[in-house]
Formats: sequence, structure tokens, C-alpha cells
Amino acid sequence: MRSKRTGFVLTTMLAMLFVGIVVSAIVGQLDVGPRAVIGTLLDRAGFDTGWRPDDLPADAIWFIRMPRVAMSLLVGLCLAVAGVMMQAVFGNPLAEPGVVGVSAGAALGAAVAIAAGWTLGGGWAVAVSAFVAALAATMFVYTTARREGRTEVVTLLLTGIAVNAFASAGLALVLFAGSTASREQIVFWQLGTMNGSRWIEVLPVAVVAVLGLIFTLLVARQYDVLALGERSANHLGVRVEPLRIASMTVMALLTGVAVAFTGIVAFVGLVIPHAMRMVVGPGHRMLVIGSALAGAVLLVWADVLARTLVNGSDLPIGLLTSVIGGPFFLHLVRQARSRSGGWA
Amino acid sequence: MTHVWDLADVSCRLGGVDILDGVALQVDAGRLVAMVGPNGAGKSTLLGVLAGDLAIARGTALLDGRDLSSWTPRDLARRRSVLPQSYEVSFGFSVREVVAMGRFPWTSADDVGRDEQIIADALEQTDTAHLADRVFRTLSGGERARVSLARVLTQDTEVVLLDEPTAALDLRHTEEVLGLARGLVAAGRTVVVVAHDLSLASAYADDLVVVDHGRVVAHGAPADVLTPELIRDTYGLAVEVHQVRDRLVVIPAVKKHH
Repeated sequence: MRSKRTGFVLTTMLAMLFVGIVVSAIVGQLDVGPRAVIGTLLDRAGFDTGWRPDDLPADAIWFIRMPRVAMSLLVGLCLAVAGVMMQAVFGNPLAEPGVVGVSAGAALGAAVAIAAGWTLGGGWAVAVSAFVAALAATMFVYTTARREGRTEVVTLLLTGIAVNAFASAGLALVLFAGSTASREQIVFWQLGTMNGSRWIEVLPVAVVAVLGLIFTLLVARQYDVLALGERSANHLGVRVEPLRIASMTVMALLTGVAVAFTGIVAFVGLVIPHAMRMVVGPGHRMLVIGSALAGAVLLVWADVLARTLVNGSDLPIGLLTSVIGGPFFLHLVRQARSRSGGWA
Repeated sequence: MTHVWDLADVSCRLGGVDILDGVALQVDAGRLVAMVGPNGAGKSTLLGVLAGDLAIARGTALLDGRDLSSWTPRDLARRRSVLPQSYEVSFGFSVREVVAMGRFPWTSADDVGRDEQIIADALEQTDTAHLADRVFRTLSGGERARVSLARVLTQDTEVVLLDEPTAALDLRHTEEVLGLARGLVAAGRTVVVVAHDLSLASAYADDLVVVDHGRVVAHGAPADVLTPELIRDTYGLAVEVHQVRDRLVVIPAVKKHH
């Protein structure tokens, strides 16, 4: 029964993703139809269909709108997969890169790189800086919130508060010290936006997204066993500590690269895996596939909304996900409270 | 013949305290060994050493004649299984999924049909088949204990370590679980179980290992080991040991207050 439902949901999401991509490419100041979008994409893929529009709309679709769609899709995938990994490693559905401060750490790293003018290799220098900061934040949270093989949820969340506060202060300092141009760029980050994405920025995100997805699928069965706790997982032959360290590194990569180019898009890693667990169950192989797809769908459509909700302006996408994710987080807390008296 | 386990002069420190201090212990194949002793004696630590979880500070600990620290996690997982004291499962895994996790060490070596059979047998043996589709976290303590035991059986190892498997169980399931342990031994496997109930341990075990103050103070057949003197010396309580039918029964020798 579950596998039937899984198939249905995955197919539906694939369809939603495809429609979302086309709709996202249609919406904008320049009027183009779905035919022109599909024609442009097919033309780029090497098929001459005769649907391709003139050069101007074709270029607008391919060089302005498609990178933005691709970025939304990939960032959604990265953040959702990072959420699954973090929850698997901590054995807790509340662990999420945004909540525990990893995203804020990455944003600080990226902001420092921008303010300092590290532009080496296009977007890569910023991405590397975001990754390093994300990794540092991850390891800090990890070592602080774990004791004797167990995660204390309260400590995890309190550590998140501390890391978030510290990263915010750091961001404020960079803003204060930075030039006007870098200030503007950094303010955008704190809100999260897909605006101005270019293919050269999409590339590193795509590379990391594919690597992250492959890694997670390879260790999915080990994540399942990890749900039994560190000791039992070890008794079943899982090398727990190396698995955790590798997972944290990949998780920091996924978060770092997503944050470096689009800013803080919070709660995706929390909402998506939780929703997918209800649909496909807790097994990590299907959970990762479902979450990757759902994350992509969510951000592609959120970006469409961000561009159409208020006429003529581009809402920050991070604002949208937080508007959805904040209440959802509260719902999770209340649910856990009524079920087991909260987290002690 | 090599022993399954051969521990000589094993010491183990946790948090700066000597939990085990010069333990010597040999366990042979095809035995059901019960480890008993007062609270804090070091039983669980000794079990951790046997399982290969804990690094030892001094001495040698061999499994199949090989130093425990030289085993890879995968090889160990195919040789010994461990039922821990607490049964926690994160996320909403079903009973069947949890039990199937016991097949993890064998995934690359076996075919699916055999896996299914082993899982079904384990559910049957632990009286948990009717729980198969329930979510583990919604089970009672006793049900969790039995499902966790089923997961251990599914690992299908020659050597089985059980840390207080009956602590959460009612009378019938207690007898059934220990009967199950006897069944494993009858099939040639080796079982080490940490127990609190001396009468129960002596009824089912081939050998009793008495642990006190981080040492093995007695090791032998229950009838030889379980003397009022030894129990008084280790537990600090005067007792009487009676034979009721084929079982030894230990009761406190304290006089009634009124």
C-alpha cells in the first residue's frame, strides 16, 4: 500500500516539477508562451522543433529565467537532502541546517568573502568560504549537542540559538564594515533570493547536489540502522563515527553551496523530510529521493510565487519559506509535546 | 579447542574509574552463561568488552582466539549480536522494518527469500508477529524488548549477548525468552546473558559468572556457585538457598519484623 502511494506521489511531484519549470519560465516582464519555453529548451537540447521563438525571447528564457529555475530546483534539492542527513545523523526530526545555525554560519562565511572581495573563480570563492563556515558551525553544533552517543534536543536547539546569534552579529559587523555595494548584496542574502542567478553559479550547486544525492543514497541503509542508536548500529557493523563525519561534511557542502548563491532559505530541510516521512515512510532510500524531489518542487513553485504575489516586485524566497516553515515548526513542537510531554 | 572468549587480566577504565580490574574469563561454545552480580559490579561493562564495544586498558580479550580490537565492525557483526539494555528507535520505523535491520551485516551475502524467512521466524519465536505492522515507538516496554530480541535473532550470529533481556517482561514472556535462549544453545550457539534474578538465572544457565567489584569472583555450575556464603559476600545480604523441584530459589533470610 505504501509503495503504491509512494509511486503516485513521486509521479505527481515529477509532473508538478515539470509544470513548475515551464510556468516559472513563462512568468515575467517579457511575454512568452509555454510553446516558446519548450521550444527553447528543446533547441538547447539539440532538437529543432520550429517552436523556438526569436533570439531575444529565446535568450531571455535561456540566460535569465532558466538559470533561476535551475537554481531554485537545485537549492531546494540540496536543502531538503541536507535536512534528511542532519536528522539521520542526530536521530531527531528537529535537526535542520537553518534551525541549528549551519545556514547562518554559511551566510557569514559568504558575506565575509563578498565584503573582502574574494572573487576568484567566479562564484567558487564565495561558495568555498560559505562551505568552510558551514562546516565549522556543523562541527561545533555536533560536538556540543552530543553526549555519550545521544543528542540532547534541548542542547541542540540552544546551541542553534547561540550559533545563530553569533552568526547574526558577524553578519552585522560585515555589513557595518562593508562597502555600500557589498552591503546591498549581503542584505539580500539574509532574506534569500533566486534573483540574478547565472549559469556559472548554477554549476557548482549542480555538482554538489549530484554528489550529495549519490552519497546519501549510498549510505541510506546505514542511516536506517543508525535509527537504532549509535551502539546498536555499531553492533550491526556500521562504522558510526566515520559515517557521521562524512555526513556532516557533505551536509555542510550542500548547505554552504545553497546559501552561498541564494542566501538563507530556512525550514526547507525541516518541512520537506517531515512531510515525506508521512508519505513514503522513514526508510532513508525513498525518503532521500522523495525529499530531493519535493524540495525541488517546493522551491521552484515558491520562486514562481515570489515573483507573482506582489505585482512588479520580487519577494525574497526565504521570506516565503519562513512564513510556511515557522508555523510548521511550532506545529511539530506542539505535536511532540502532546505525544510525549515535550523534549526533555 | 579454542574458547569462544578468552579474557585474561582485563582491566577497563571509564571516566577515570576502574570498572573492571583483572578479569579472567573463558566461555566455551554451546554454553548458556549468565552473568550476575550486584548493581555497579561491572556486568554491563564486561558485556561491552565481550561485544567489542569497549577498549580495554590492560590484559587480553580474545574472540575465537583473535584480539577483539583487531576485528572489523562487519566481521564482528556477523559473529556476535547484542541486545542492549534500552530499546530506542528514532523515527516511525515499523516493527518489521526494525527486525529486518538485523539482516544489515549480511545484505551483500544473502538472497532476499532467506532474509524474509529469517525475519518471519524471529517474529514468530518472540511472539511479536502480530505487532509486525505497528510503529515501534508506540509499543509497550515489554513489546519493545521482544521486538529488539527478534532483531538480534535476525542477525543470525553464532554468538549472542543479551543485556537484561527480561527486565521489562512479564512472567510468561520471561520464561519464553529464556527458553528461547536455551533453544539457541541447543542449536550449538553460545549465549551470554546479564541477569538480576538469581533463581531464574540458575534455572536456565549452564554456568553462572558472578561479578563483583570489577572481578569475576565465581564461575561454574549454578548449584556449585549459588551458595548462601557467596551471595552474602557479594550482595551483602543473608539468604537461604532452597531447592524447589529442579530449581534453586534464593530468598532473604531476614526474620519477619512482627
